[in-house]
Amino acid sequence: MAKTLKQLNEDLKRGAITVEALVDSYKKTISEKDKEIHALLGMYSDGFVLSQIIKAKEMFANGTATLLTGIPVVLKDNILVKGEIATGGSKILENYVATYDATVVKKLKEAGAILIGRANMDEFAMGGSTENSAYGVTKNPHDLSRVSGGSSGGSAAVVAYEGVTVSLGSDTGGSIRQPASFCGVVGLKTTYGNVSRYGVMAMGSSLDQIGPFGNCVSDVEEVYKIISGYDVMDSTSLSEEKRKVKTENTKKIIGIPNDFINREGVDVEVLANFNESIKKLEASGYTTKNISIEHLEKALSVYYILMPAEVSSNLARYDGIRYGLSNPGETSIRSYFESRTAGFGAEVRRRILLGTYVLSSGYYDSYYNKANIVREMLKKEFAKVFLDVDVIATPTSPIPAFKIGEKSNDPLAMYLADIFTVPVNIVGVPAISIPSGITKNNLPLGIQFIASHMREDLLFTIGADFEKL
Amino acid sequence: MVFTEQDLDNLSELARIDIAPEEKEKMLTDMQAILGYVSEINSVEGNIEKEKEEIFNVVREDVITNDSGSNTKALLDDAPATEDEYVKVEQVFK
Repeated sequence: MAKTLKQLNEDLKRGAITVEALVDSYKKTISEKDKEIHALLGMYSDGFVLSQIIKAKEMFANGTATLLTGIPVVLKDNILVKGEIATGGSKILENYVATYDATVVKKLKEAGAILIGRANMDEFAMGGSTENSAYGVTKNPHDLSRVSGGSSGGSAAVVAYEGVTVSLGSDTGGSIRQPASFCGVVGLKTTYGNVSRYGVMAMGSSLDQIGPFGNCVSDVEEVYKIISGYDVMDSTSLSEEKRKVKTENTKKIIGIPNDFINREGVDVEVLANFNESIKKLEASGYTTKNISIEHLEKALSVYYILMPAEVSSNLARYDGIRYGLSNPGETSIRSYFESRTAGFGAEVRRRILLGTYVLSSGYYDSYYNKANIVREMLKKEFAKVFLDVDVIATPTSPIPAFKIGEKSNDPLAMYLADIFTVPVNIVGVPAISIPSGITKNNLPLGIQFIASHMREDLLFTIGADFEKL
Repeated sequence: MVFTEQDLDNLSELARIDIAPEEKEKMLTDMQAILGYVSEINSVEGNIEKEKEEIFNVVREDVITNDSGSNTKALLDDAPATEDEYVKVEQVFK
């Protein structure tokens, strides 16, 4: 059993272990295990790591240490650290050196954390298995023939094999929660606008959020406390005013969209495990209630219209002129084609083309506008449900970790695996995935709890209760 | 909804991405499958004006946050080609 942040902090404070020794022990685990798993794309430079160690020791010495001081952390490789490589899992940024710190990086540095390495991911966070990484797949630590999930597969796997105790990922349609469930760790997708997106490579700007991975709910909560907060550098950051929500709601009622969950394509073991989890919660004092959300079935379509639309706009910046891969063409316009075609993988190109299509004249109203209408309907429908329940529960993923290569040739089948996680990003609410058991083949499963805007506290409460069952 | 090879060619041109002849068929099949699926959205009745999200501007004071030139070197180091303190690009009008 991995030590919690509180235990590690105790060890560091009373000198049972030094910061150097702690960092070295994690680095040793990584050097032993990562050859096989490939959760990491690289380690941060020695000089940078050393400077963080010195700072952490000072913080312990002068009494300003936080719970994260001296704790090694891995970041998904779409989060910028000044002076260090950040590839986004793409060939187009193979040699890109970040020129500034992301806000979450600034906050982690201030807390005294030791940023040690960059986690593998699907290229620009597009995928559910890390098979779209330009640098190879991250294998599942529980079964090397299977994927770790994605897109934050590296961040989940490195925590699962105890290469670090906490990491950061990003979640646009389930990219934290699904790999957390596949790897048997806890993963939190925060409320849209809660954690600053400044310094994270944009994919779907109305959907993206950064969030933590950990071995237990309390570790995830501690990292969450440090990285969340208003940021002037992110125009979608929630103001202090909007962060104030009523918190007296503790009815301990769980809403379950039964019709939505009992559907074709959901693995029988996933369903049985979910039902068993709910029974345990009921036995411990929670009440459950069947809920129905009218347009929930349309959420996946809404997502696969809005997300590519935003992708096609956001990825227009990769032009081979100011930074990134640059392949000269016969004319200046051909240089764009040469650079982008060589730099982007198949899934990224597919989504850019899809997005270009749904935004093009003649199709805009029937796709993009329609998707926005349904999005607003879903927001209202969720808000109504949250008047009656504290949280909504679903399985995190309809299936456990699948075999490497099993779905990589069928993008639509891959997309359908996002069915339970995507609605959360459409609506912008927070959700957490917590390990809920294993299949008969020893593959981890996860349960997802969803709360209303800025009610991460409810997720931590029910999560901690669930962990004890 | 019919998505044709001509549509694919048009998108390729707009998005500045080449599609190699050997990957065209697969890309076409994938796009047709995905667009076929998401087209279900058209069955929803609704009015964009009625459902529109509250829209507001986010502005801040235009203040200088760094010394002039303090980021220049780092930014230019990432550029594929430079000359003096400029990013060098191909001539547009020849």
